[in-house]
Amino acid sequence: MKKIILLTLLALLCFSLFAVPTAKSLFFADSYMLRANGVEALYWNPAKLAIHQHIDLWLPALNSGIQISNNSLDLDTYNYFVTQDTLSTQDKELILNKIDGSISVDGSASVSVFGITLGNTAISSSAHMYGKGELSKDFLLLAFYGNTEEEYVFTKANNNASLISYVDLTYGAGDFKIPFIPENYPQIKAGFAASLLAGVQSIDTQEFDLHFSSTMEEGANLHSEVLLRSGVGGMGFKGLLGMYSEITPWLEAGITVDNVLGAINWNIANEVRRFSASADSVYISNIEEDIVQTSNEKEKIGSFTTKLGTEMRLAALYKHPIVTVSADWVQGFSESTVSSKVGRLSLGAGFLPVPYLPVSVGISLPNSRHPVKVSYGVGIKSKGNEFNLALQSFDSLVPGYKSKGFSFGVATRIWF
Amino acid sequence: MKAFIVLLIGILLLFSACEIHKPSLPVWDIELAIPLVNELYYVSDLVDSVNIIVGENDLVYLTGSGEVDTPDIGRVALSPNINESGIPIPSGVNQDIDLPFYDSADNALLTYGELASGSIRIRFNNVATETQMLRVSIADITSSNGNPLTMTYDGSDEWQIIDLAGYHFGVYNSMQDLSSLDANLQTSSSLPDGTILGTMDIMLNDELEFSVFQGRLNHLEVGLNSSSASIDIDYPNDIDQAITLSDASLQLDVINYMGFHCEFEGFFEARRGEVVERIQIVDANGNNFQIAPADATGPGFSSLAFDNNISALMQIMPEHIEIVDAKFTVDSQSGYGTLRQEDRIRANYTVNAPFRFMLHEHTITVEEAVKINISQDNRDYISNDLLEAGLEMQALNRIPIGGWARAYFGDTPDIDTTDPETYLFSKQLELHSSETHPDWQDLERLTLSRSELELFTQAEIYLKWEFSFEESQSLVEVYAGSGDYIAVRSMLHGKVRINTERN
Repeated sequence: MKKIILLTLLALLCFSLFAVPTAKSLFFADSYMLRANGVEALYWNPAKLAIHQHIDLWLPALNSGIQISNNSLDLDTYNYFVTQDTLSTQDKELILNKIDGSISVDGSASVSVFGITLGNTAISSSAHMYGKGELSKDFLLLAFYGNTEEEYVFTKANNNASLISYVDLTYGAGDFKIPFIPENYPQIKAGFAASLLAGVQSIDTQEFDLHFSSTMEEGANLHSEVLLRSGVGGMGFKGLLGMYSEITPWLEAGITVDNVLGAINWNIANEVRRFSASADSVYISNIEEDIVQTSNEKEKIGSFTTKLGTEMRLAALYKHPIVTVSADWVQGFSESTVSSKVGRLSLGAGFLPVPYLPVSVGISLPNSRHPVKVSYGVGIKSKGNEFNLALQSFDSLVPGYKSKGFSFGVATRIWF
Repeated sequence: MKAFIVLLIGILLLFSACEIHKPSLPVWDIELAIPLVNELYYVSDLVDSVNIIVGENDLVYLTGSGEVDTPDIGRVALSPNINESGIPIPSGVNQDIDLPFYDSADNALLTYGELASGSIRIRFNNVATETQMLRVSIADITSSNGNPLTMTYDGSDEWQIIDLAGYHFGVYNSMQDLSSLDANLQTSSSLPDGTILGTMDIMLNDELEFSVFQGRLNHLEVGLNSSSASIDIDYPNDIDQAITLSDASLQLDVINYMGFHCEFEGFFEARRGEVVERIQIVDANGNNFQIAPADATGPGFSSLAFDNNISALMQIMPEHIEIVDAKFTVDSQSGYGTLRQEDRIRANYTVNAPFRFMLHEHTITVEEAVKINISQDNRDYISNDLLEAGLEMQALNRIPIGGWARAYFGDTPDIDTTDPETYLFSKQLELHSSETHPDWQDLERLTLSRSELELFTQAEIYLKWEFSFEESQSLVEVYAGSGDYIAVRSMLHGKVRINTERN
């Protein structure tokens, strides 16, 4: 049991360290589909790959982002918790009231390796890691109050962890005009990107069942079964199809479908680890040495495939000489480490108060899985390059003690 | 550029303004509920087949058994009175002489006997010098190899004393009274036949002691060894004041190694302080019990049953029971029989008292306080982490006995349950009889506060029990069938401090 908890915590920690499709998206709280161009368009909308008609260059690590967040606890609560000598009932309630059903932690990171555009094509590589974990509120109730209920049931629905990391090598082409569009209709351009994925590691929870009861009539009973599947080394593919149209000189609209045929086949070192524990009708009066039967079995398995859930993104961008405003709606078609079936709306705005000083803000509205996310970005721009920094706050308009997570991004572009 | 730096500094300030404290877990308290026990305690588990047994219809009996016996019967004494003197001794004859043999005390008629001690005397007087051979033999007295006792003139006129130890009288199992001894006189001499050669005297009038006796006895009494015929009952903790037994029975299995019928007479006497209860040990018709004799196949067995006869004795809850004035009597009514000196009568007695009694409300205090040692680890745990403890209990009592038990806890062994100064606290549990509470009973929850738990931080603590039965309105019977049990289930509740630094 101890090993299970440790592994779960480790997994949660790992998941918290990585994510983000490209760093620049952090600047607009992911309302970025119609803002991405150049190499970045390979990951957001390849139709806009050649929009600037110059060579765009990505250098290693200069386009990187990291995100850590959870759905329940802010920094204030964390500080309060770790600075208390003794936790009163009110303190416990303060923490528990912030949790709705379960505490989930998300993390993602991306690090650029290289990238270059050549005409309407581009090639790039970047490393990605996505992870998420979820723990039922009942675990905290147990930890804070003890087993005040007669029965506890934990399932995979609220208790799981998954992690996937890979490096992509992506080629894409865009700026293709959709034929047969009537002349008086806005031009629609399309693009595609195809990524070869070199899987680094995958961990996912296949089973999580834990049943614990403690009654006078039946004693203490424990039945748990946790199955973690992991894979190291794999190959995969994903495709991104995108279209956009400049409806008016001030308004663009676009649509993308990401992770098309997205999957990684893990085939080098794969295993499943099964942790099980059981104890039946345990009473102190009949305790023997081994009251809990535990097993920790590791088994090599053959190759398996992790599907990257397909996502559709709809976006609109309003352009003004000094301000741009965008809205993105992302909707996954399946639950996976990189996708969610719960849709999300993001809004972004970019300003250029002075020609060399781009400023951005963004907000991603909350849904049942994620708190509101607010981005602030600032950069310095000159002819041929720009450098940007962005900060993101979760569940708080201003990054601070009320934030339930932070993201930090660095974006550097060179073009000529 | 300046504006960018200002904004960058602003963002960094936002970051740096947030202080993130070093991870450290506080201390908090949780409630733990741990199942303690869920057991059926069967009455039949009390049955040890030695002191507690199951009788008919699964009724439980308290049983006690013992053994009483008599001393060895010893030798049977017989006092003959043969004193013949001046018996003429003719020459050249083979003459029979009849010696009358009887018990001068008139207590025994011998048919056969093996003599342990005794002697016969013979003297030859004025025997003629021409006498060549003079011999007297008694066919009814034989040596161990079957030769008759033979006495020969040896030239002396002094008394010859012949030790008869080891000689046999009569014929084994003949059961023919040996009323006379057949003697035979044989002589030869150089004198003409019929010539008187002299005279002789024969005396057999000392007491003869037989190690084996066959015949009839007119009267023989054998008493019990008194030390083995008594039972002392030590009722623990005055429990006798809380219970009145309803009835009891006694069975006496007598093993008679004597080859004689005999009659048993005696009394059971029970004492409780000054109260003495005595009953005569007789059969249902008021007659003394007759004890069967041993025979060729082995000792005689007689089973004497006193059904419910000793109830009166048990109802005073005696502290001492004794068989008094007890004896086995052999008399002329007993007929012919056999006795050996090592013969005795042994009796195995069994007292059965069914678990059928009246219960009285009487507080019973266990005299000695129990010492409980608490390990250092547990003391540390209780001292540092355990804030409160409680015991939630339910019981299903299928036995018609109820009562309460109270535990007194203190830090010295000198706990006086009537003096609160001598103990720190007490806890009570009450369990009602199945007669009044046939279903599950919620027993009063036992709780230990933090201050009470402080006692358990000491290395040694003391516990003294006090209990009482519920007064029963009628006779209570306890059975040991599969449905006679007390089911107990309980949950231990503890308020525990979580201190990860210490843990």
